[in-house]
Amino acid sequence: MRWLRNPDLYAGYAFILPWLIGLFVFSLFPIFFSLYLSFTDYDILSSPEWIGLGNYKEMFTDDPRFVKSAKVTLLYVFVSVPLRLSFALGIAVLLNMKLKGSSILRSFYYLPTLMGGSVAVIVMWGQLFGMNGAFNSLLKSLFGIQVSISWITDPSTALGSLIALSVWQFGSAMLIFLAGLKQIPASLIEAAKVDGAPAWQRFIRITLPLLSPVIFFNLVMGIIGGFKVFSEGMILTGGGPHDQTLFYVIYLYETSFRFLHMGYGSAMAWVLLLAVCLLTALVFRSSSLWVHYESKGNG
Amino acid sequence: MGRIKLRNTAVLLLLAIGLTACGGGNAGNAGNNTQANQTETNAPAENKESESAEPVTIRVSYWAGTQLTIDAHDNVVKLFEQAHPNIKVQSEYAPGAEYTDKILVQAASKDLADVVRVDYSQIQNYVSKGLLQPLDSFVADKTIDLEGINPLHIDVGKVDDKLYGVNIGNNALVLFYDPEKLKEAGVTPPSADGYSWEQYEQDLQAVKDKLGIYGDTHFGQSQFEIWLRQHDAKLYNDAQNGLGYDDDQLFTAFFETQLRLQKKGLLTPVAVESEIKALEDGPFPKGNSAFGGWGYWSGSHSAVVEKQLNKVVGFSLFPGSGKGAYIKPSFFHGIASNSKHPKEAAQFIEFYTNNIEAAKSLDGYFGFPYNPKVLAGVEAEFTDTQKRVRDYLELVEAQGNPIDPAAPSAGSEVSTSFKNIASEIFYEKLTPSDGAKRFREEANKALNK
Repeated sequence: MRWLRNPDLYAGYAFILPWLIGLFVFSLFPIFFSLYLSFTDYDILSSPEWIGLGNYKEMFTDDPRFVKSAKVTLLYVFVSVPLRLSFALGIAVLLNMKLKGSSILRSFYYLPTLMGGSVAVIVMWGQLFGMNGAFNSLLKSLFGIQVSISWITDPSTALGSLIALSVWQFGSAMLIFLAGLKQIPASLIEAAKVDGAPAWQRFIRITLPLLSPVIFFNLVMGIIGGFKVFSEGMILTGGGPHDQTLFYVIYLYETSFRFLHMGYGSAMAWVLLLAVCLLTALVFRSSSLWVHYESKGNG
Repeated sequence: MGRIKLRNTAVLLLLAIGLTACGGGNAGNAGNNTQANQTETNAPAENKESESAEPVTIRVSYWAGTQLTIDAHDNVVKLFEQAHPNIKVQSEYAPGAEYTDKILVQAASKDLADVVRVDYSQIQNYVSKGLLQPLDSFVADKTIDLEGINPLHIDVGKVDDKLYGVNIGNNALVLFYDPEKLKEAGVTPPSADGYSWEQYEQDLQAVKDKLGIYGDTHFGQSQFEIWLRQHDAKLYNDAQNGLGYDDDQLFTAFFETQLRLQKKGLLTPVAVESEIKALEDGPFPKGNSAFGGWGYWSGSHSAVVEKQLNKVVGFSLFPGSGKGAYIKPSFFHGIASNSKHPKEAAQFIEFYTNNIEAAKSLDGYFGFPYNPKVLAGVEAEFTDTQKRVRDYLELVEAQGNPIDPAAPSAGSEVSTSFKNIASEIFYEKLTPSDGAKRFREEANKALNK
C-alpha cells in the first residue's frame, strides 16, 4: 500500500478531478443507466418496469419502422461515405499539385466543414434545394428545364439530397488526405517516373498503397459518423416523407421522446453501439488485406 | 523539500478553487431554499393578508410558433406584473411538437414551470403521471374565481372530478375562405345552413377554372376526425385500446375524395405543403388558394391569417354535416405538482382568465373568453375579427357536438402512422383501401401496447 502514500498520486488525481467527475457523472453513469433501461418499459414519467429482453425481441421481430430505419441508415452510410472519401481524395490530390492559389482553395474547400454541423448551413441547404430554391432556378436558367419538385421533400430525392449534403462536407477528410499525401516520399514517385510509369499507374501503385493508413482512418471515422447522422435529417425532413429519410437516430429520438418508450429507445441505442462496433471491427479485420504501413518494410 | 511544498501549495490551490466552485453552487441552492422556506413560513400569514410583499418569481411555459403569439403573451405578463409588483414572471416557450418534448423532459427532471400550458390531448396523460396538482382548493377560496361560468367550459379541464386545468379560451377548427376570390370565381360562399362535399368540390373546380389558382390544401388527421364524427364514429374507441370506427370504408372514402381532388389539380401539391414551416407559410395566407382548410383554429390563427392576407376572411364549417364540428379548449393552464409557489401561480391563472384588461389585451387571441363577466367587459371593444370568431363559435355550438375524449398516450404514434400513410397515398404509392387496412393494423398495435 505504499503507493497510497505517494503524494504524486493525489496531485495527479487532483489535477484530473474535473475530468473524472465529468466521466463518471455525464458519461459512465448515463451509459450504464441506459443499459439497464433497455431491459425495461419506461415512459420517462413513471418508474421503469423490468421486461427482460422484450424490447430487443420486438425490435427484430415486430417493428417494420425499425427495419426501415436500419435500411435507410445503412444505405446512407454505404453511399455517402465512399462518395465523400473519393471526392475528398480527388480534391486533395489536385491541391497537392502545387498549383497557383492552392492554399486559398484549401481554406475555401474546408469552409463548409467548419460550418457544416451548424443548423444555419442545414437550413441553407434546405433553401438551395427547396421547391423555389437556387438549384431549381439554376436548372431553369441554364438548361431551360422547369423543375417543380422540392429535392428535400420529394420521396425519391430526399435521401439523395441528404447524401449530397454529407458529400459536400468533405473538408476534414480532404485535409487529412492532404497531410497524408505530403508524407509520401517524393523519391519513390520520381523513381517510378524514371522507370516510365504513367501518372495513373503512379497513383494506383504508389500513392494509394502509401496513403492506405490515412484512407483507413477516414473510413472508420466516416462510418461511425454516418451511423450517428441526426441533425441534417431532423431539421430538413424530420424523417419524412413517409419515412424515406428515417435515420436510425431520428427513429430512436422519436421513440424515446415523442412516443415515450424510453426503454425501447435505450435498447435501440445499444443495438446501434453494437452494430457500429461490429462494422468497425470488420473494417479493422480487413485492414491487413489492404492497408500498408511503410514502417513494416523498414523494420 | 522546497519542490514538494510548492506542489502541495498547487494542490491546495486547486482544491480550494474546486471547493469555491462547489461552494458557489451550494450558496446558490441555499439561497433558493431559504427563499422557498420563507414563502412557506409566510404561507399562513398570506392567507390572512391574501398578498405578501415577499418577492417571488414564477415560471410560466407556453406554446408559441409565431411572434404574434409571443407578443400577446408578454403583454399579459406585463399587466400581471404591474398588478402584482411582488411577483416576477419568467416565461419560456417552444413551438409545435417540441413543446410537448420540452414539458416531458422538464417533468422527468422535476423541473416543470409553475404554470404549465397543457393541451387537451395531453391533460389526462399528465394527470395520470402526477405532473399537475388539483386546483379545486384555489377555486374554493376564489383565488381562481370561476363563479357564474357555464360548467360546460370548465368541466373539460376535470379528470376524475378534480379540476386540473383552467380553460384559457374556446377554439374550433375552421374552414377559412377568401370572400374576394370566391366572388371573382362566381362562387357563393359556403352557407351556414349546410355545405355539402359535392358543393365543396364544385367550388374548388370553379376557383381553378376561373382564377387558375388552387382551391385548398389536402386534409389531414383533424379533418378526418371531423369526417368520422359526421358519420357518428370517432378515431379512438371508448376503452382507447383500438380505433373507434369499424368500417374501413370511412377511411377509404375520405382519401379517395382527397385523391380525386388532387388528380384534378384542385389541391396544392404535397411538395408545396411539405415545405410549410410556419403558419404564415401556408398557401392560403400567401393568397395561393381560395379555401384554407389546413387545420386552422378560430382563435389565434384567424388573427394571423387576416394579418398576413391583409383582408377579411370568411369562416365556414367543414363540408358535410355540421354535427362533426366541436368546440375545444384552446389550452389549459395547470399548476405543476413540483411548484414551490402554487398560490402565486394560481394568481397568475386568475389574472389571465378573469382580468378585463388582460382579456382586452389578448383580444381572444388564445381562444374565446367564456366568462360572462369578462365577455361583458370586453364585448364593446371586440375587433371585427373577434366578432366573426364569436359568430363562428355560436354556429359550432348550435350544430356541433361535444368534443371527443382526449387521445390516449399512444396517440402520437397513431398520428405518425396516419401522417406516413397519408403521404404514401398522396404520392400514389399506396391505394386508399390498402392504406385503410395498414392504418387499422398499425394504430391498433400502438394502442394495444
